[in-house]
Parts: sequence; C-alpha cells; structure tokens
Amino acid sequence: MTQSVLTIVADVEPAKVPEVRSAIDRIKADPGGNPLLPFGQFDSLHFAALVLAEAPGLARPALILECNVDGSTKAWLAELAGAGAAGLDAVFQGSPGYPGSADPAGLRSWLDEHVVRPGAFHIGATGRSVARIRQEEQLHDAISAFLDEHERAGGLNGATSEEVRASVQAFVRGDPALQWAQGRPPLRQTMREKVVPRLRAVAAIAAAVALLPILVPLVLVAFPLLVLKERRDPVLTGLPDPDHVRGLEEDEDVGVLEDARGRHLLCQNHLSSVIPVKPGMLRASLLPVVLFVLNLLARVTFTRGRLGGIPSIHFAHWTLIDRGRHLVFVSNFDGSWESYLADFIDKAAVGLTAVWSNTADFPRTRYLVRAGAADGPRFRQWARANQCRHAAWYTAYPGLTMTAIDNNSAIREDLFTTLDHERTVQWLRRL
Amino acid sequence: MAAKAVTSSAAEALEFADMQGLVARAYGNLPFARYVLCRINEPAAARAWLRGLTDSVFTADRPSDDGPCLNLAFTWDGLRRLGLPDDALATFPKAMAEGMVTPRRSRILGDVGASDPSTWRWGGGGPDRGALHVLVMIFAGTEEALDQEHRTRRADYQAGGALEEVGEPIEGRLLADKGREHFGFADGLSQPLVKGWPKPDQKSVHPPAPPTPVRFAEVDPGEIILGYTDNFGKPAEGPTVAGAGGAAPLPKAPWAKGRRDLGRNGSFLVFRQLAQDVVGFQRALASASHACAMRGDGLSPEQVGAKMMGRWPSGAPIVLHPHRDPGTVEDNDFGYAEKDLHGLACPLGAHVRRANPRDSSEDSPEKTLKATLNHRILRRGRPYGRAIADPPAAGEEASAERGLLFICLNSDIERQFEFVQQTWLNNPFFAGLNGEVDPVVGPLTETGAFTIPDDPVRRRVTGVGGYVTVRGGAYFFLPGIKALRFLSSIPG
Repeated sequence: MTQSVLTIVADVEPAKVPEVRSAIDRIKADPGGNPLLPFGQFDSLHFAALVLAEAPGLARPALILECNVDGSTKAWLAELAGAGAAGLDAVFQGSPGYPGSADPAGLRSWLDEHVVRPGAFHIGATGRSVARIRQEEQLHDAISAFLDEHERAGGLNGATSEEVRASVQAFVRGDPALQWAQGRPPLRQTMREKVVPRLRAVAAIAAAVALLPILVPLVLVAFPLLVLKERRDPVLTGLPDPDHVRGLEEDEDVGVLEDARGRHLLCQNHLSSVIPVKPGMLRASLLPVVLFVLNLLARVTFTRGRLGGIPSIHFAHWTLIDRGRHLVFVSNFDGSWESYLADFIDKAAVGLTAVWSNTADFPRTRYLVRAGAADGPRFRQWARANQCRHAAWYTAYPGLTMTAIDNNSAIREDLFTTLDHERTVQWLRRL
Repeated sequence: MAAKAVTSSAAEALEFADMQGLVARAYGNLPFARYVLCRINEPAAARAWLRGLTDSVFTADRPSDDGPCLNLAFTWDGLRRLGLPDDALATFPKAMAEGMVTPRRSRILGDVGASDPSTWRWGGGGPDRGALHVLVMIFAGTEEALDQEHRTRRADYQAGGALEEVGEPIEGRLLADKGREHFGFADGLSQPLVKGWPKPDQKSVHPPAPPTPVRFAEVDPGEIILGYTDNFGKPAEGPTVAGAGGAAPLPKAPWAKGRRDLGRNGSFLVFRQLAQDVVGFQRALASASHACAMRGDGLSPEQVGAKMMGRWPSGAPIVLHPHRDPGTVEDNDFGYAEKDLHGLACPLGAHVRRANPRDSSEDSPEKTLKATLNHRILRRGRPYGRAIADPPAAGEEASAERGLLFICLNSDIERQFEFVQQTWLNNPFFAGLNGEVDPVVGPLTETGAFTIPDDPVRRRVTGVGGYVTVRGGAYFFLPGIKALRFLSSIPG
C-alpha cells in the first residue's frame, strides 16, 4: 500500500515561543493520549514528531510536524484538518497567518501551503499499514505462547517440522481472534508501486545522459572548486555543550528492559536536527542533487527494509526548508543513539557524508564522500551539537523493532502457503 | 566504505617503554593481585610521591618476571585533585568527567535492581563520593611478596599525608584452574589483537598474543592505546595539556594546535567488581535442563551452560563443537555467519556471541565484522574470592562472595565498553531477539527468557539471569610513563 512521509513546517513568532514550547511539553508527556494533539487517535499514523527548531541562521524559530502515514498526503491532511484541528490550533497558534480551525477551508489551504515533501526518505516497513503491523505482532505473540504451551503438553515430543507447522496452523484456525490471518495476506506493494519508482529512476538516468554535454563541463568546473572549498570550510571545534547533550540523553530511553521504576523501556528512538546549509552557490546546488540521487537509490534498491546496510530504520527523511538554506533530518530508529551513530559511521559513512558535508561545521571531508562521517568521534560530536531538544515524539508500536516487524510479516505471509521441507524448517525458525 | 587510514598503521612503532605493563599483559604469571583505592589528601605530597615512584612503575617493555609489579591509574576527580588544570580536564571524554554513576549510565550499563549503585561497596556515590582518586595495582607471585610490596608502597604514599586508603583493598586471585572464572569457564579467550603487537612466533619480551585469528580480532593500536592510529585512520585523541612540562616533554597532539598529548601511551581503564552467584547459576542450569527434558531430546545442565555461554568450560567454542566439550581450545577461528547463521549450535543470545558478534549478521558478514571491530575492549581482569567446591557443599560456601574483577582498556569508553554493555549484552532486541538480555552476565528481567534455536522449533527457557551483581566500579585513566612524570611535576 501507499505510504507518505512529509513535514509541515511553519515559522513561529518569537514572542510565542514559550507558549509553543509548553504545548510541545504537554504533548510530549503523553504523545498518544494527551488532550491537545493525541497522536494515538490517528489509525494511519506510524510515527510523528513535533520539533521546535531554533537553528543558527533561521530568521524565526521553525515548528516542524513530522508525519509518517499510510495512504496519500492528501488523505492525511484531510484527517489532520478534521480530527486533529483543535490540536493544530494548540501547536500552530504562534505561526503567522495560521487561520485556525474555525476556518476549515482556510486551514486546509494553509496546510497545503506548509507541507514540505522530503528531498530523500527511507521507509523500513515498506507497504505495511499500522493496522497490519499491530495484527502481525498479535499473531506472532499468540503463536509463541501456543508453542510454549504445546511443548509443556508434550506436543513437541518427537514431532517433525511438518507436524509442528500443522499444529500451529490448526491453532490459528481455531482461535477466533486470529481469523483474519487465514485470509490471503495483502501485498506489500502493488505492481504499480514497485514499477513507478523504477521507471522514474530510468527516466532520471536517461535525462542525465541526455544532459551530459552540459553536465560534464559543469562537473569539471565544480569539482575542483569543491575540493578547494573542502579544505577551508570551517569545522566543529571543541565539544558540544554538556547540558545540551545531557538533555538529549534523558529523552533516550533505551537500555535494559526496565528503568529503576520498573517501566518498560522503548526499543525505538527518535532523532531530529535542523542544520544550516553552507553558504554559496556550490553547496546550494549540490545538496539537492545529492538528495535526489540518494532518494532514487532508496526507492529502487533499499525497499527491503535496509538503508545502506542499516537494518534498524523505520522512517527517515531529509528535507530542505527555508528556501534551501536549512536541512532538516528526522529519523525513527531502533536501539540507542550510540548504536545508530555507530551504524552511520561503520556502514553508511559515504552516503551520509555526501549529504551532510554540505551543511555547516561538518567534520572535514575529502572529495565530497571521503572522511567526514568516518571520523567517528567528531561526527558524533557534530551530530549531538546539531540535534534538536524538546521534541515530542509518537510511535504507534513502541515494542517492535524493524527486524521484528519483518519477521512477523514473513511468518504471516507464509502461514498457509505450501512450503517444501526446507522452507518449512526455515519458517519454523522465525517463531 | 568508511575511509581507512591511507598510510598503513602497521608501520607505527609502539612505544612499549612508555606504557604501563597492564597494557601489554594481564600479569597471568602472578596469581596474587591487590587493588588499592586511595584518596589524595595532600596534592603536593602526592606529586612528590609520584616523582619518586615513576621509575618503579612496571613498564610494558620489560620481560615478565616474578614481580612484584606496580601500576597506577587515576579517576578524573583524582587528576583534578592532583592539580591538573581545568583546560586539560576539559579535554577528557564526558564519560571520564561524569564517572560511571549517573542515572543514564546506570540504565545503559544495566546497573539497576540488585546492581543499583546505591548498593555498591565502592564507587557508587556513597560515602566515598568524589574521594576515589588513585588506583594502586600490585601484582605478585606470592601472598607474602604482595603484603611486603603493599607495606613498602603504603609507607611511601602515607608519608606526608599524600594518600589515604579508601575502604579495604580488593584482592584479586587467579583460580587454581588457571584461566577460568568462578562459573567454571575459561575466560579471556577472544581478545582484540593490536596491530604492531609482537606476534607469538616472534622472539619477544612480551607474552604471546592470544590465539585469536587475525581476521576476527585485529584492531588498530589507537583502539586501545591513546595517541596511535585508530580504526578510523585518525589518532586516538586523548586528553591534552597546554605546556610541554618539565624535563621529559610530552609529544605534540597533532589534532590540537599548540597542545601536548597527555594521553599518549595511556588508555582508559574500566574497573567493575562483579559478584558471581555460582550456586544460583548451577541451580539455573539444572532447572533449565529439567525444562528442556519435556521435549524428549533434552539438554544436560552442562549443555545448557554451554548454550548460555557459547563455549564449553574448557573454552572450546560450541559453534565448532556442538555436542560435547573436547577439553581443549584448539581453534578460535570461526565466523558465526559462515558456520551458524541461525544460532542452532551457538544461540544468537549466548554470552560470547553478544560480547563479540564477529560477523554475525544475515546481511553482509564482512561489513558486520568490520563494524564489530570498532567496539572491542582489551580485558585485563581476574577473579576474586575463593573457588566454590563443585558440587557446592550444602550451605557452607554459599554465602561467601566471589566473582570477577572486570578490568578492561579502551580508548573511547562510550564507543567501546559502554557500547558492548548497552548495544550487545543488555540489548533486549539484540540480533532480532525480543525481550531477553545476556543470560550469563545480564540482570534478571521480568521473564528471564533465553531462546535456544533448535529444529523443529526453538526452545525457550525462562527465569534465567541475575547471577552477576555489580558491587563497585569506576572509570580511570591509565597514563603512560611520560604522562605520569608530567602529572608529578604539575606546579603547585
């Protein structure tokens, strides 16, 4: 099915910042069920975040509402303007020109004007709706509990793979709550959803080839200029403000299963940053190109849930705002910030350097893609220094990693198919 | 992909004479060790003590002898107390400045419940808060030699009120079954192999490198020793100071203009006292074995233990020897992805597979291995307490405390030691698992689940965990010899 990722970006009157911040804090206290903008009311919403950015160089603070949803952008905006209208009033009250929910038509067109689509994005659970992800978790847990019970009852004594699979199938058939699992599983992507991005990629490549006579001289001029600039661009010096870092760390709840008060901890985290693009024509024109290429790669080659070898990203997007002068990054990922950054450094340094080397104070790079994020310690410090604090963040399925979502889908998709012995053995290993 | 050093770091000569001995060896030939925690009472007297002592510190270039050997490490508080200026203290990593005990660190290290720092014997922020400054480490061949050396050193550092001991010294004892820890398993087998380290076949004054094959263990020297090239092709950046300092100047810090490298030839030392509940562990193996018997083809307690550890008591990897303990470690050269992707021999959540996942990944084993090598630690600890009789004599020994003095060296505490704790050992979602932590060293969680992959379908035992309890801990800086001289000559 179609999924949409987008941000709604609006300026905030500096005088209204305290009110907006207090609204964010109230939402943050209970993202799913708060009285202002209860994200849990939207069945199509996977992840959402509300970030107040006061990055250097922004004329006014920017309020960013990140949305990752099932269905089209249009349908989502209609839902937001409908059920979410009062919540929008609470958070966007300080934005110049915000019409308010009393003017539904005005609100709709205001939203249309303030939606920004990402320059590049990644979706981990491609084509699976919130409802499907939750259902498949329920199925997995039920089968797991059944197997434990079945084993205690001696049902696994000397059982073959085929017999175990048959007993799981019988269990699912007999459980009224799991009747849905007997139906034919929906496709993750329709043929159209698979083919269109590839056609677009082919078209883009064809266009690039056609433009070669222009592109080649352009690159010949721009590349030496870039290499020259790379040597002189300012880089981050010193360590990020320890209080800022401590504040970020407090919001990152991943670790052992429970905290000191026995609360279950999340397995996911959120990260957001708003960073000024380096001044000058070169960076301003290079960054959209890099994002375009990255997005093509993401649409065509990373549809199996991994972005550049990183298996832990649910939704991530890069978005240019402020007429291309600031780059927003938002990401919803599994595990700790440390492990996420380590994945960046260990597995995806080249691509990330290509993007972020165009933004201010990035660690020293060479030839656009070398060094940069591969300078682990400095990259981590740079990332921390630019990360936004005080974000409210919502997740529709806090206990599920990307790996678990994919595994649950694979269990469900092959639950009633015909499998040979080898594939039966492999399927049982997922349980 | 991540840009490697352009120049080969293998050519980088390691300055062993400027390193403390602990960098090169665990003093495995000296069964008796004493770790004395001290507070600096009189900074001037402490510096004078250090000046007189620097030549007695056992260095990494010396051949192993019968000892006694002395090594020294300092907490961040200790360096401040010693008079290190603020501009230098600010160049220490955040983990050193904050220390091991903050709410967040407790969470990511798993120091909750029974291991909560408020229950620690030392370092937990109790009465010794801010008063742990110096760690004096003494290694000796006999208990008498250890006592004698301690008496001599104590007379020195108590002179002029330089140092005062905090709490009882911590006694490290190798077990009679050398190389094993109290649960009965061989320990310290898979260590990172530092590039430029003398190879076992070379005539060398150093003890032979551990028998880990190069492809699964080789790291650049900067991963362990500050100032050298690390895995990212950059110098491992340690603390720096403004002045060159006295007669033996510190080398320049190439990454910080006009500053000197205080970290060179030093390392960050993580020390944790981990009590082991041997009786509880053995009972758990028996009960898990009982639970496994419901399926007909059961697992013996010894097999369950090997599944949890990932190795047999001899240290032989269960990946290469799935059915029984061959009694010796012949080969440590294996990848999980290439031999046992699904964990049918060695469970995905087994202790050694979590602590060093090698190439364990369904995606790209090479990429995973390369990433794993960015998070290795060099272990230098040893057991404490008396060995338990096997099987345990009823009630008699059960209450006596025993465990492991976990000590490791690394150049980036957050990227290495803390990463291993948080992302591998204590990660409930490690390798696609769901809600279970390390079965051997992890805390007891709500279910205490441990999944043992098997055909036709996985076994899942419950109630596993909580056999290791933290009793103390702190982060230290283990300086090089020149750095010790520098510290001893800080103008008061």
